[in-house]
Amino acid sequence: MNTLGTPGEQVARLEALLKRVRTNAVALRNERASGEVVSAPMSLGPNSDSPASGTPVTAPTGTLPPRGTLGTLPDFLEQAVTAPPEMHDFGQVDVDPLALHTDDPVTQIPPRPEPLASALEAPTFEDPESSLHSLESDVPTLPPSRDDDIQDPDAEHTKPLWLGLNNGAGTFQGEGGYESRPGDSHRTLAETPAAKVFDTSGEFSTFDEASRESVALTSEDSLGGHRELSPPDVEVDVAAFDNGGIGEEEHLDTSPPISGHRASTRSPELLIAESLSPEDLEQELELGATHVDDSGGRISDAPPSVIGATITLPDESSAVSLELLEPPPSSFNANQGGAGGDDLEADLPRTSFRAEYDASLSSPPSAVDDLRAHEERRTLEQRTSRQPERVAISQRSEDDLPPVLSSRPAAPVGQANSVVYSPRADATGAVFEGERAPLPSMAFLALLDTSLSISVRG
Amino acid sequence: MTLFQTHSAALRFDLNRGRINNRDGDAFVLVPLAVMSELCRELSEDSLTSFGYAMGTEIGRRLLQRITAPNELPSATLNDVVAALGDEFAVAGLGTLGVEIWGSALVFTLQDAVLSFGGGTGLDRADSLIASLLSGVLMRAFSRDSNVVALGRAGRTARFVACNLATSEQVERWVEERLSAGEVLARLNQAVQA
Repeated sequence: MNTLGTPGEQVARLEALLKRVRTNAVALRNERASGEVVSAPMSLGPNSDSPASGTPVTAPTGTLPPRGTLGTLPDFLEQAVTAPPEMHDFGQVDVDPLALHTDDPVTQIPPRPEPLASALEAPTFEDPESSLHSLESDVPTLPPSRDDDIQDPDAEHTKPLWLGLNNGAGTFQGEGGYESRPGDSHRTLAETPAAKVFDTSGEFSTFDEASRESVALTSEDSLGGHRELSPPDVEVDVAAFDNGGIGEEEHLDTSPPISGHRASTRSPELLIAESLSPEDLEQELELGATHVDDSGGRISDAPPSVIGATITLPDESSAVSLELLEPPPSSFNANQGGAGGDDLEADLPRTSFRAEYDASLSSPPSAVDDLRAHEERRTLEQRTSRQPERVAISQRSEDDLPPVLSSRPAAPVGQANSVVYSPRADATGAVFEGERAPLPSMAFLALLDTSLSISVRG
Repeated sequence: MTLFQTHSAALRFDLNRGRINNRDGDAFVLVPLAVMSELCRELSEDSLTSFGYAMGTEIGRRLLQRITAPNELPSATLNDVVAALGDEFAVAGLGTLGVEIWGSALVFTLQDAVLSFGGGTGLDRADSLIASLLSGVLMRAFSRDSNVVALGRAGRTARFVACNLATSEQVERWVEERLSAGEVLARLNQAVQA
């Protein structure tokens, strides 16, 4: 039997309850102002909907109310403040904000703000016209299971690999070479306020940190929402790369964005930002076992393949780069207990990735692509507002340069063709200055020999 | 094609062992600029040239190591070289390297050069050191006998032209005559057209 009544009655009681809460909140403020203690008996029972009013008492009870009631307002507030979240007693119904979560990092659903009315939903709910039914339609579609993403061992891995972090000086660390795409690859965890998810395709996406309250980061979701979590003393972004990247393209872009929380679900190979102390980070790097999993922001004992980290100070004024130059021994396994443990990671390729970008492998336009494009534009705008000269640099392409240096006469002073080294350069590693005629991508040796061939008659 | 790997940690400071190493394991020492300047001021011209040449050959060796395939060196683009060599200059704290093409002349530029030893002929002796260094780089990395001649500084930018041994003597005379860098380079290209 549904002791809670019809949904309409539940909503009515809920509204009455909220009204009383507001009333008592006002009473509490008055109590603080006047020094008088006010309590308000509150209950979610079916007979508890009598109007409540602040009743002066001499002293607070100081004890937690029995299960099933909210107790007096001061008690409720005290309980809410002092008790850990899992100990909160919201009455007859236990509210689990993580109820929709699963342990599968791929199918994990970010927590959604649960309407309070849903907490009162009876198990024998029958009213099809009730708005409570809309909760079902709000459940996001689950991404494909990881079982569907069986990696093809024969698949040639031609996606560019994002193997390192920008240390703030504009350079990337890559194993076997790295070639970025002009204009879009120089986003760093340090530069962007949002936690970025990098994957082996060289793309990036943003996921909402709202699902990880324990991670104190400023989060900006992919739909433009902004959420400020409590700032850490030191924000540390750890990049981890799983060795199982082969065949990654087999399940690229297979997951639609889920309510703007995540635009990518390629969890095993993702680079995840996590908040750690510098000491913890250093220790993890020494151990070589840091692998920040995105299934809740935890650090697992996955294959040790941390390749870079950036510590960003709160004021973003400087950054320190920590780098693990040598890959840890393949036999290392934090879970490898005693002798005879299988070293599963030893057979996995570690450095056989190609760093060339193959545009033909780009997936057709999709909602994810649109989302990424939007994110890229927005990030570019942010960078433009902060570092316009760098954006202008990155948009230059070596291929756009006209030929030069045939028999061109000497340029007047200040108008020579020039190329200047810049640590913030794009993949070409160079920056073309101003509006001067840029240089072609000629071999340096040819230019040098031409210069050395100049003979001056005395 | 990107021939050179970029790196995000050019130097590693091992405070426990008191060592500074680059990514190749080469050891470095940090010397205050004032001490470096004091040392170089005491050196003779030949010693200063040798010092710079030795620095350049070391940089040239590392430049070669950063090339993914040595047989691809001839195809290394100007941008590749500037990026890799600029990294070495930046790590050494010498300034921002650049390259200009003045007609046929290949000109290295160094912006924000911190080395300054003074000089009585309008040419900073530190520029002579850098010129020797660049000669060492070209010799070690590209196997080219060349003389890199300092053309002087214009504002915050010092210029150096790469030329052969015979031409370098004439260029040095022009510089001693206080010709500007533009005038020297114009004369060089007039010689090419003649």
